[in-house]
Amino acid sequence: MRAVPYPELKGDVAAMETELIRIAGMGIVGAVLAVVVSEKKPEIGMLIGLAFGALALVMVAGKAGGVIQLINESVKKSGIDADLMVPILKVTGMAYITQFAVDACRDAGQNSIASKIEIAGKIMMLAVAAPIATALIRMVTTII
Amino acid sequence: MDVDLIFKIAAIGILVSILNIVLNKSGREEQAMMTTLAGLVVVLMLVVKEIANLFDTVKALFGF
Repeated sequence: MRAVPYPELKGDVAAMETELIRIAGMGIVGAVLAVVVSEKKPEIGMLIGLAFGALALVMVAGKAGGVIQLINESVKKSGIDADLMVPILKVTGMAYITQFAVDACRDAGQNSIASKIEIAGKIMMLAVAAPIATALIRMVTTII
Repeated sequence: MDVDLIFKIAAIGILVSILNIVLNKSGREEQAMMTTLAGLVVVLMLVVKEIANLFDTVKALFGF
C-alpha cells in the first residue's frame, strides 16, 4: 500500500458508498410502500414520499457540511474576502429548501402553489444576491 | 430510525384504509371519515417533525 499523496482524499470517502446504498434501498422500499398505500389513500402515499425526502436529505447533509468546510478553507487560504462567500452559501441553501417545497407541492398536484413558492424563492434569492451585484458595480466604478 | 418512519407511515396508511373499508361496510360513514382524518393528522405530525428537522439542518449548514 503506497502512501496517498493528497491528504484531502484520506477523509471518510470510504463510507460514502454504504450511505448511498442505504439511501437507494430506502428509496425503493418507500416507492413500493407509497404505491401500495396510494391505491386506497393517495394523501398518505404522498406523505411517504415527503418523509423519505426529508430523511434522505438529513442523512446527506452531514457530508455536504464537509464540502462547505473545504470550500471555506480554500477561500480563506486564497485571500478572497470571506464575506463574499456568505450570500453564495445562503442562496444555495435557499434553493434546496425551495426545490424541496416545490417538489412536494407538485407531487400533491398543486402546480399553482408550487410556482408561487418558486417565485417567492427567486425573489428572496435575488434579495440576498443583489448586494453582491452592487458591490461589483462599486468596484468597477472605483477602478474607472 | 431511518426506514422505520417510512414503514410506520405505510402501516398507518394501510390500517386506516382497512378501518375505512370496515366502517363503510357497516354503514358508519361519518366515523370512517373521522378515522381517515385522524390517520392523516397523525402521519402529518410525524412528517412535519422530520421536515422541520431537515430545514433546521439546511439552515445550520448554509449559515442562515
